[in-house]
Amino acid sequence: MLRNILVICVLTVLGMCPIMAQTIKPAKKVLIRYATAHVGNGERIDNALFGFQGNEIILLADGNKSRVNVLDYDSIIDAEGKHIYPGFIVMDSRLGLVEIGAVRATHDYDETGDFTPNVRTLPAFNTESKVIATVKTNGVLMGQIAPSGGVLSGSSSCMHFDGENWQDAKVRADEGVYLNWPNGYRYKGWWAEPGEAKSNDKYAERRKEIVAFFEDARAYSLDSNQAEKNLRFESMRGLFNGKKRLYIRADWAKDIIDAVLFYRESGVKNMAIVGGAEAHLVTTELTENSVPVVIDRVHKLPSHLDDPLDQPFKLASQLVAAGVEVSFATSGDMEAMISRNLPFQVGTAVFHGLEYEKAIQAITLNPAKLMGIDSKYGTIESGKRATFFISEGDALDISTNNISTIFIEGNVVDLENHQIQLYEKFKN
Amino acid sequence: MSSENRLDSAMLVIQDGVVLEVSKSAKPPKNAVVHDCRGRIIYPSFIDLYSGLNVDGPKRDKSKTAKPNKASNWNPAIRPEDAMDLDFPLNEKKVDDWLASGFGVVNLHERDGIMRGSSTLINLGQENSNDAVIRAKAAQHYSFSKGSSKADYPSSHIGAIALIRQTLYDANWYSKLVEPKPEANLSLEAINGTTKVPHIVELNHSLSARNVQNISKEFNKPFIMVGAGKEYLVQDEIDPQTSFILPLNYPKALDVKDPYEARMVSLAELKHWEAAPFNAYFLSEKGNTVCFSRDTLKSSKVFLENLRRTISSGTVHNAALKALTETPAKMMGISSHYGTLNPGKTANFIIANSTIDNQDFQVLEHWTKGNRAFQSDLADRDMVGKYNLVVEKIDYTVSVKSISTKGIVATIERVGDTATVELKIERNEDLLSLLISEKATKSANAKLLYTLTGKVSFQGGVWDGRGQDGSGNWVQWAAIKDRKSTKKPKKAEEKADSLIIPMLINPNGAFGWDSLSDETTYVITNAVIWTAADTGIIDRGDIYVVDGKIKNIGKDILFPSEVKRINANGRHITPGIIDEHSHIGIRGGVNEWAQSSSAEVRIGDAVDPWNVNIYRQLAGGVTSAQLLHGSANPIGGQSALIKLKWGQSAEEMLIDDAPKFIKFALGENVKRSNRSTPGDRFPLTRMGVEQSIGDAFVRAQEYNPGTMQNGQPVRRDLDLDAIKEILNDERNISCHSYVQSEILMLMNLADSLGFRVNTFTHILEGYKVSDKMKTHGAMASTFSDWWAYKFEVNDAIPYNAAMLVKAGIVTAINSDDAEMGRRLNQEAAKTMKYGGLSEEEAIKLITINPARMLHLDDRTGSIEIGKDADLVMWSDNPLSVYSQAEKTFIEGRIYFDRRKQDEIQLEIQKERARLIQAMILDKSDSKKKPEHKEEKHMHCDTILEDYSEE
Repeated sequence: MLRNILVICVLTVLGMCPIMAQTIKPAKKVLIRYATAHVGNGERIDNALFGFQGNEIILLADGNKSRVNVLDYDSIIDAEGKHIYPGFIVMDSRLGLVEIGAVRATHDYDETGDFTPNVRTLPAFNTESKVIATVKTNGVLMGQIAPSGGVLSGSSSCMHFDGENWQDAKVRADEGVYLNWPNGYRYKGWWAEPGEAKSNDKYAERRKEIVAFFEDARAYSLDSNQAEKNLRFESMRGLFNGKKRLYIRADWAKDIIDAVLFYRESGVKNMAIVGGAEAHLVTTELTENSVPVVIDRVHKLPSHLDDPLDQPFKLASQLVAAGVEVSFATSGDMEAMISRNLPFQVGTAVFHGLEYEKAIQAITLNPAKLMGIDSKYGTIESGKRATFFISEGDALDISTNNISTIFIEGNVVDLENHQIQLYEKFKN
Repeated sequence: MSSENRLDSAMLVIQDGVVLEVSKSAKPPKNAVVHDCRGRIIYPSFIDLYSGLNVDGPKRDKSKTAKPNKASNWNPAIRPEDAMDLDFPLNEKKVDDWLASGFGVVNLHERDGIMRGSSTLINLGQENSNDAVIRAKAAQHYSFSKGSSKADYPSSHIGAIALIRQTLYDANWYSKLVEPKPEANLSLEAINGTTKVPHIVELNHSLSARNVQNISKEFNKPFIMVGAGKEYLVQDEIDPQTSFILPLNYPKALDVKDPYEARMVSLAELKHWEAAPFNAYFLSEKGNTVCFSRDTLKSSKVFLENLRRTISSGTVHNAALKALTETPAKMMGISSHYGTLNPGKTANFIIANSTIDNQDFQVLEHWTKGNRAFQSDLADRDMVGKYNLVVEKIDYTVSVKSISTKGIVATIERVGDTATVELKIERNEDLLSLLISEKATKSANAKLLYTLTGKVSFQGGVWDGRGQDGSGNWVQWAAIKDRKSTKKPKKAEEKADSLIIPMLINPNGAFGWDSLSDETTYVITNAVIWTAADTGIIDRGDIYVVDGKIKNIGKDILFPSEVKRINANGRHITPGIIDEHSHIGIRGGVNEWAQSSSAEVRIGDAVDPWNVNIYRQLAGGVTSAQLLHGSANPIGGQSALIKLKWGQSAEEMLIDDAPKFIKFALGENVKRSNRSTPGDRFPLTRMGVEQSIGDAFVRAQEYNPGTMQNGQPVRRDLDLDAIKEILNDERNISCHSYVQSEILMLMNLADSLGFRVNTFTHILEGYKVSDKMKTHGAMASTFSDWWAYKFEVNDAIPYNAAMLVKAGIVTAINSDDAEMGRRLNQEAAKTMKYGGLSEEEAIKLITINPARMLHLDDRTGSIEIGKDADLVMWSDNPLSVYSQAEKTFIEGRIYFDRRKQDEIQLEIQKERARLIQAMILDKSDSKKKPEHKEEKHMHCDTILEDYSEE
């Protein structure tokens, strides 16, 4: 009986939550209790005490082991049966850089030219994107916004999804540079017909160009104040002093190995492989060189006709089992829109062997580490930014992903979006 | 003499181009020129009915439409009236190479177009056309490729088939026209005038054999098929009476030394590499008649090498010979003069150094019509080897290394002497000249030792003659070949008795079956049964399946105790998933986009049962699918409704007596909005879409095939046939649509013209007009959550499906995508998240609802008594991401079993390893790097589609 009352209580509180939250002044202290907290670092706290003030998390503790004085808090939310997660982070995303796939006027991710490391996604990021509004309502609250064209595509930035302009949405500017490694195999024919691929006879040539560009950039970086500025090389400095990470898109085993060999010689301090369709075949090379992998997409077909049916589903668990650190993207067809399914793609990986909290870590702490923002983001530990959400149920499964409350940087997020508005308008 | 008849030490007498006598008689007739062919083999000349000689690429005009001044067919790919024009003399070098490969008679046609016109059968090696031509208009040639035609139509395999069918109907109609004919059409006249000659069709894919067979039945027209290489995989579906011309063109071994790169080669490719030379053997075993062709193989060397591979792959010497001589002669009806060496036949024969199964086989001479048309440059490859040369009692060792058109390369040594001696040999027919000299050294100038002249005799084994030394003294000389140094002719490696026939599976690649369980009677016990029917979800129950049909379901049902039980152990069973909108397993294009209505094309013609995505969807619990035409034009093509019976043929996958469906499309794809160059095909706006559909229906209303109009028979029109079926309520529409305006438009048009739109597919704004859909009686098949890929999906919302369900519309979730198609259970679950449907409602979206839409609900779609046992066993709640299909049953048979996947994968690994090893050990040269077949998975709604007419 007591329990029933409590549930009703909770429902009432949470039902009012969006309205109530708007009244929360930034400085107020909020306590959320009884929820299951998925910390983001691989741990779970079943009966958590979670507090934040303004944009900072001030408390995360096990309710079975610690006590708090509720009087210290301005607001208390009882969330029994619910789940708290750090905001999910999607890597290698085109969110905010494309609004409508077929309308070129809405595209800002593929600059012309092969070597354009200096082009930045940051000022092109459209915070007004209707697509983003449908992504955050599923728990994806931050993203690495990355360009995709050419060879050296440009610089990526980490953004959160609550700013009114890119400046306010910026979490970390220009944290990475994207490199499209040449494919050892290149497809012929046209896309709708089973086109053959042949070995890429331009591979060696392309590789040489990349090596030469990096050598020049590295030499340039040795002088901290070049008299004659080269914007492309300026944008590469961070790679050699460890302030930026090099993200190399590569899928085939041999290409990955070659990309790792290139990385070792290049003077670049930090690197990650993005894509990694055959990364499970080269885990030794990856772990020996501490190279993490950003899996481009879980929901995709196997790369080869003969591959196991579930190969893309189990890639993450294979890599984690081999000691490779993974995070996730949803790149490919309809990539921006599909990012709202990031939780379910990761859920699929969980079913195929990835341990649940490790999976959460792969879309929270791991990407935060890649982008160098883990001191403030990626977990819901005390001292970090209050960027998190509450789901009524398991956020990685479709029918239970029901997000009632979102905070980004301590600000409550409006759960409305274009689609919900249309739903409300037409549902009767 | 023939494939059955061989005479040893025989004599062949020819006169005036004709064989007079073949016998063992030792006495040549008087006045005869005698050629001693001791040790030689004489064969009848080979006959190539699909010769690639003279193929220099299409020479024809590349106009977009046929030339009206030729009174030909409207489509330039249809040119049956064309004859093969040959410019004599033919390129001598090329002809020689064909004669060197054994072919004396070739059938040549212009390899361009779908109906390519007639071929000319000629004797090679003749000076002029009067001597060469055996028969003009020897055969009519067909293909599925439009060649140089710049006309947009047809743009697909299905379009090519429709065009062939329409043209053959047209020819039939043309023959019935009452004089005076309203129009002249030389193409149709040519078709009607050449019905007696053989019809030869080049297969673009072995699966097209089925298409040819269907056309053959429809028009009562036998075809000889030119194989595409994998006919051995469709032999069970092909009438054993069918004759094949098999180009001996086999895949080469690939360079697969690198294990990473080897991954780019599929098991199907590896298996085909091994099995390809067995094609003739497999077909012959089934009773099909086969003949061989060099087709477009570049050199005689490659052809002869592949001929030997064929012989070592089950086709014995005599059968191969027959396939090169008697059979093609018979197919062309020229057996009375060609194909064997009996008296009275044309003296077409080759003189060879050995039999065709021999690795050193070489055509030394080729005679056609009694004339020596070809003589190997190197009259004698036997000349290569070591010789003991004696001049003035001094011994030399001569090594003839090679002979080519550039000359003879030879070295010489004086026995027991290190001084450097040089040799130059020239040979003209059987006369020889040799020049022996000492090379210049530091101390001495070059010194001429001998100039010798002489002759070759005893088949090159002995040279002898006279000559002069450096001082002008005459000398005698002789050289005898060291026979030990000549290589023994090697027989082709494998003999028929030790033949290892490659094992074939269905399909012949990854995940293929060697045998399929026939078990279709059992009880599945202890299952959570999602019936998708009124009974809802049965917590723990049994399903009794008899002969692939559901006999009973429920708790504690009765069944005979001896019936096999499959214990579900509390796992969930749902009906097999039905995908209302799929494009998997279609080959040669899903769109025939060139015309605004392509109602005449049939996706059923292009079903590719070997496509791995069929198996992948099975693994996702899909048992039935509607394979749809794309969305490039307002009226698309006819659908194929299939069950995913992996390992079976296309015909077996097609659902028996399936309701007829056709794809319509509206909006951006149809109006080509997202193409860089929209072109000028009407329509380019939604305004035009309405008119183009309306026009088609009005024409169909006025169309009455089988009647007379203005005193002439009405021409049968396959396009209008299909539209007429819609008006007659015999064919259902599945219409690609997005925005409310176009949905309303089509329903209004339908109401005014008297037809019904069965299904709106995609219909992402259906939620805005659900009341009107309900009034019209339309159903809805939609995506769960796709949007933002083009402008017209701006108001697409994931709540759509749930809202439509609540409005009382029969609603389905479809895939339109090979990847999503294997997770439709997850997609259905999204309607619980977006719009709050119950589990029971959600599962219906992918089972009974699409079954209702496809009018298959009397046999599948739910777990009810009497229906097909199309079932899926799930590891857990099927609407969760933490669940997957464990077993998929179609009509009771288990087509997918996840428990066996590890075992299957291991088999794939082993078989790959075996074949990769064989490829690495293969000695043939010029291995290419692996080519990776990227499977393109298509759906009609990606952005890409609009650039490629998907």
